[in-house]
Parts: sequence; structure tokens; C-alpha cells
Amino acid sequence: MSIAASHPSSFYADKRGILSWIFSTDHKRIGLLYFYAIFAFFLVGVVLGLLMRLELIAPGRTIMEPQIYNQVFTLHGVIMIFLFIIPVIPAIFGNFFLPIMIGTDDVAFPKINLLSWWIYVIGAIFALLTLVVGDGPADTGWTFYAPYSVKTGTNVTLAVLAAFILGFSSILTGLNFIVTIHRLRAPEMSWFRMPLFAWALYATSWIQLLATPIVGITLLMIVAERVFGIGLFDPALGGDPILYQHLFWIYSHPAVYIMVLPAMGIISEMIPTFAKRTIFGYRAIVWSSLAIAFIGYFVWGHHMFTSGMSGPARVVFSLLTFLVAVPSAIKVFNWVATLYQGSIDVRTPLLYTMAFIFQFLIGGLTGLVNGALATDVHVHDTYFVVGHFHYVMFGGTAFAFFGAMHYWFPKMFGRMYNERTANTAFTLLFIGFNILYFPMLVVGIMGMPRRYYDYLPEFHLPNVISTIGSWILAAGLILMIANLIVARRKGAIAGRNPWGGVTLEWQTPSPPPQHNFDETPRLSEKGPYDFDLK
Amino acid sequence: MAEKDKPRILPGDKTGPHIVSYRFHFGIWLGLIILTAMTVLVSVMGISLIAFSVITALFIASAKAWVVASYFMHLKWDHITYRIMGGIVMLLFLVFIILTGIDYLTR
Amino acid sequence: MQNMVLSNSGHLRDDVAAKMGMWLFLFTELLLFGGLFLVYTIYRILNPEAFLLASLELNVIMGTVNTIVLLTSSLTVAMSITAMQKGNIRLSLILLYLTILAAVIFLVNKYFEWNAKIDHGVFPGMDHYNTLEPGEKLFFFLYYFMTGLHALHVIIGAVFIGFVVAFIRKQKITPGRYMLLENSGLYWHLVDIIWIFLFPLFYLIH
Repeated sequence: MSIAASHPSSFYADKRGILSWIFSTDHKRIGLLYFYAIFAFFLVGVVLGLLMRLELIAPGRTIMEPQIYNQVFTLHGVIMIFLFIIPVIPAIFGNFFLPIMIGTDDVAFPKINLLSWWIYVIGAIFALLTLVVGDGPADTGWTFYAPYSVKTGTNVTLAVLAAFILGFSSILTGLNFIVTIHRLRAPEMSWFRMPLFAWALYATSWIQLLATPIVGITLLMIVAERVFGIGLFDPALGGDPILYQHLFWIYSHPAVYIMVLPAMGIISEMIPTFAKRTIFGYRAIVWSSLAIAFIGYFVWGHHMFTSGMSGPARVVFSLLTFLVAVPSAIKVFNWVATLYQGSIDVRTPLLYTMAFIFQFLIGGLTGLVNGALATDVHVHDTYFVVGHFHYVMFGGTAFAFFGAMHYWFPKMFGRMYNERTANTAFTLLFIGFNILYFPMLVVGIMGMPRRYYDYLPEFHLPNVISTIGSWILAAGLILMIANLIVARRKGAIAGRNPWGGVTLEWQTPSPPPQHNFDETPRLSEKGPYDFDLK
Repeated sequence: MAEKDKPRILPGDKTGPHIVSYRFHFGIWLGLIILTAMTVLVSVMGISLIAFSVITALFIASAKAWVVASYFMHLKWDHITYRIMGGIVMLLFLVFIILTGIDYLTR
Repeated sequence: MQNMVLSNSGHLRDDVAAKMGMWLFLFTELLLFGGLFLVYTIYRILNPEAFLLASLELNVIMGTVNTIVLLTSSLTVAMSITAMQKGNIRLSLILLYLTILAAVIFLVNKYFEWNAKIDHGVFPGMDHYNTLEPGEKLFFFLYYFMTGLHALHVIIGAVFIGFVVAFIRKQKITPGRYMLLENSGLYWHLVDIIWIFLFPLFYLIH
């Protein structure tokens, strides 16, 4: 691969040729392999999303038939959830930076790490096969709710197997990170001197490890049901479809914390760097990460308030749901408190951080509306929910991902991008995002249901605004990507530490050498964010 | 032994193998067989002390699993981390059962 | 300079890490079956009589024999580790062969058990199965699914132990470095633990 490698000992220079990449056990190369694969799928998901928005620009049929629309939103969901947002931060930045940030040269099981990338690729191939094999991609939505998923003629079996295989990849990544953090920290790095991104990954890894098997077995049951024609979740044959929903959300609710916790970890890294100030309430952020991971297991029922669950169970789940808001709020308070009286250096990654906090706040507060039993009954399955989770997932996690891309780009590729262009792209993304998703909250409250290709005429205006927002967002994305591609080839040499960061990755050359460090990394006794360390 | 083949030892690691004697293993096995006999007899002859024989069966099964994990799998002599992790996993599973059960038992 | 190796390098031998990795994997296996146990629990709550009726058709003797076979194989694999620790490689190998033999006996027994059921037409899609109550259908489906998945784990465990045997013979596993043997033992015990719960839940509801 031709690359912006700037010095002869960089890990890019170590070996060359495609085989040295796809069979590499080096965590940095595996991180980059994930980067290219995941980003490609992200773009596919974006295109599908843009098509959906285009269909919804006017009531009635615009560009596609209802059945196609069902398949498009399912594919959009499956790709964005299983191929993009679950692996995105752990698999890319976790792989690339976790070993460097804790001061070691690789993960605990480098071969298993490579295996997990290959499993990801196989799962992705299964997901893509649904497009060409049989009766087309699944039309069930990404949740594969039974009994429809058992009865539809579309290619649910393959899609479900893809999700099963991808889950395996996720489990192996989580397992690897947990053991790495337990065993491979630098000798003086005690648990509470670990960077917060590593803590966030640790909490995330436990969810990946312990929640994913449940959805794995559930999806296998769907496959068995389709193959053997038994009624495990089919009420006509004695089964209970709500049990499927329980099993599905036992995984899929904790999974939203797989998506957002690493993003919070990245924010906790970027804020001290650009406020030039140690993080406020380090331990509170650590414990809140672990608390989110733990409490996140007990709230899945809030996805099922209107599906026929018993009254007392709904009350219990609603109460438990409120608990999760507490640690999330603790984090936001700590970030803002860190900025207070800091020497704030407004650079591109900090802009994404600000957007994250703003959008995550909207996403989080609308989440409380959904978590409260009384209000959820009204907004369930409306565009309010679609707006809510896009504010958290896109406005939160994906913006943190873009921020991390700009934060660590100089470290990963050794070159700097044009910051003015990057800021323009950010502005387009921020404006486009909010124009795209805020109207969804409004039409949701007005009563527009989700997952239909058509809507009543009174919802026309907000939908037009929303679709226009999607174009602005797309323009921002294109500009951001073009800027980074140019930077990768022609950007100025970045040097070791362009931002003045203090975590260990900034002590090593950019891009890092094969063994990550050219001298034993130095740690401060005052924790990972000691800006007095010279 | 070459330098790179030495196992990594961190502060707090248990060092050296813990050797469990053949005789001790055999005793554990005998205990497990007795428990198995008990659970079969209780079930076949219907002599459970409490009304729900399933509770008795699950209690005995849990005891057997605990014995296998503690002694055959050496958890008893391993670092406490594994017991904490295992405890959390069990707790999660119990909560899954209880919370789902709340739904079905209050319909 | 590039070849500096950190003392905490991920490429150095670390037995504790290997064991921890195995335990974490076992947790995922536990929860994989945990999902099935959850389904079993709920459907048993919903269909108590049908589950009782269906379970009477299972053969308690065969189930008990298989339980004893698996417990004994757990003993042999645990003793094999003791033998390895004491440097008695021959005994260690013999005990592993016995473990694999137990796995084969378990599977043969399971084969006859399933075969008897299928001869009676009790399998999803067959005549007798189709006449059953919905609750009994659920019971039998869960029976096939859970014991089938467990049998798959028995096969995987036996193959794992087969590899360990090969490594011992090639002296890749020695009394100074036997983590793989210990991990195969851990996996095998897990297979045993899952059966410890499957046995009463399917065979002993009286």
C-alpha cells in the first residue's frame, strides 16, 4: 500500500504487499483493515439512508415500491448496526490505540485478533449475499421480529446468520481487550492510571462478551424455526412472540451501550487534550462507565412497552431505565466541568466533541421520554423514536467517530489535514445532521409512524426539510472524506504530538513503529492526564 | 528454558502449579455420583421433601456444578478474579430469568 | 531501536492470560446455553402439564448412564492434569484417551436415544410429533435443540482433547508448559456442567 509513511521505522514500512496486511497479526494493521472495511459499509448504509429520505420527500410512491422500501430500511439497519456502529470504535480505534495507550506492543491474543477480522469479513459476505441469493434481502427490519421473520419469503436466514457470525467477531474482540487490559498494562500503570478510553473499552468489552451470546442463540432459534417449521415463537403453533422480543432485547439493549460507551471514552480523551487540563472527576467517569455497562443489562423491557408485556413488568423496566440516565449525566457534567477554566484550543476534533455533547444531550433527554412508560405509549413506533436513536447513534457515536478520525489521523498516518476544510466539513455535517433529524422528533410527536414508505399529507413539510438536511449532510461527508484522502497523500508531516496530548500514544513517532515505542513510555504518578509532565 | 518462554508473572499472580492429588479428585467424583443418585432417586420415587420437586432437582444440580467448578476446574485455588467474574455472570443470568419471569408471572 | 521489546509485550508467554481468555470464552458459552434455559423456563411456566407429560417419554436410565459417563470423564481429564504436573506423561495420555472414549460412549448412547425417539416419529415434521399438544412440541423441540447443541460441544471438546493428545506426543505440551491441556480440561468441565443442568430439566420432571 502506498502510504504517507514518513519515517523508515514506521509500521507501514515493516512489510509490504497485500498479504502482509490481510494476514497481519499487528494490532495497528488490523485496526486499519477494520477501518477500511467498516467505512465502506458505512458509506453503503449512508446511500441506503439517502434513498429512503428521497422516497419520503413526498407522500405516495416517489422512487421505490413499498416492498423495496421495506428491504432498504432493513438493509440500512442491518448494515449500520451490525457492520458499522457496533464494531466501529472498538475494532478500529480500540485495536489501533488500546495497546499503545496502555504502553504495550500488541493485544494479548494477536492471532485471535486477526481471526476476529476474518470472521467480520465472512459475516459481511453473508450480509451481502442476501442481495443476490433467493428472494432478495430481508424485509423484517433489523430486529427480525418473530413470527413475521419466520414466515416471510425473503432471505431472513442468511441475514440472521450474518448477524450471528458478526456477533462472534464482536465477542472475540471483547475477550481480547479484557485480557489485554488485565495483563498487558505498562508496569507502573495501575488500574486508575489507565486512560479513560481504555476504561470505556473495558466496560464495552464486558457487554460484547456477555450479551452477544444471547442474541446468537436467539438468532439460531429463528434459523431452526425456519428450517424445521416448528413454532417456537409462533403463536399459531403454541409459541410466544414476546419471548423472542425479550431475548432479542436482552442483547440489543446492552448493545446500544456497546455503541455509545467507546464514543464517550473518546470524548473523555479529546476534552483534556484541547482544554489543556486534567479531566475533572476521573474516577466518577470510570465508575459511570462500569455502571452504564452493568445497569444496561436490566432495562431491555423498555423496547416492549406496547407489545403486550404485563403491567407490573412495564413499571419495573421503566423505573430501571431511569437509573441509566444518572451515570450518563455524570459524564456530561464532568466533561463540561473539565472545559471550565481550561485553556481551550478550538481545533477540529474539539468541534466534533462539542457537537457530540449537544446532540447526545438531545438524544439522551428524548430517550427519557421513550423510557417513561406513560409517554412512550404515545410515541412508540413513531418518528420520534427514529429521531431519538439517530441523535444518540449518529449525532453521538458517529460524530465521536469522526472526531476521533480527526484527532488520531496525524498519529495513524503521520500527516496533517487541512483544518480549515475540515472545519467547513464539520459545519456542513452539524447543520445537515440537525436539519435531517430534528424534524423527525416533531413529526413523531405529531403522530407519523415509522417504517412506512408513505405518509399523510400534513407531514409533508417536515419531511421535505428533513430530506434537504440529508443532502447537506451528504455534502459534508464528501468534503470530510476528500479532505482526509488528500491529507493522507499530501498533508504536512504531523510530528509526534500535534495537539499537545499527554496520553502514551503521543510519546511515540507518527505513525508508530512496528513495536509501538522507540523508548520505554513515561508515566506520570498523577494519572493519565497530567499536563505538567515534561 | 529460553528467556522468552518464561511465563509472565505479575504482582498478585499465583505462582507455581497447585497440584491436586488423585485421591482427592476421586473423592470429589464419588461425591458427584452420590449427588446424581440422590437426584434420580428423589425424582423417580417422588420423595422430595418440598412440594416442587424441580426446586430440589435444581438445588442438587447447582451443588454439583459448584463442586465441578470449585474442585475440578480449580476455581477454589485460583485467583479471586475468576470467582468474581463468574459470580457476575451468574448474577446477570439470574436477573435475566427474574425480569423475564416478572412479565410472565404477572400477565 | 525498532527491535526494543517491552517487558509487558503481548508476544511473550503468559499462562494466566491464556487461562483468563479461556474462562471468558466459557462465560460466553454459559450465556449461550443461558438463553436456551431462559426459553425453557418460560415455556415450562406456560405449559407445566405438557412438559411433564412429554418428559415421561424420555428414558431416565439412559440419561443417568450418560450423566455418570460425563462425570467420570471429568474426573479423568482432571487427573490427567495432575499426572502432567507430576511429570507422568504416559498416565496423562492414558487418562486423556479415556476421556475421549467417554465422549464417544456418550455420543453413541445419545445416538440410540435420539434414534428411538425418531423411530416413534417424535421429531419436528414427523407424524407422531404433529399430533402432539403445542406444549409437548415445544418440549421436544427444546430437547433436540439443547441436547443437540450440547452434543456438538461434546464433539468439539473431544476434538480439542485430541489436539492436546497430539501436542503432548509432539512434546509441545510438557510438564513445564501445559496451559493448553488445562484449558481443554476447563472446556470439558463446562460441557459437563451444562449436562448437569440439562439432565434434571429434561429427564427428571416427575
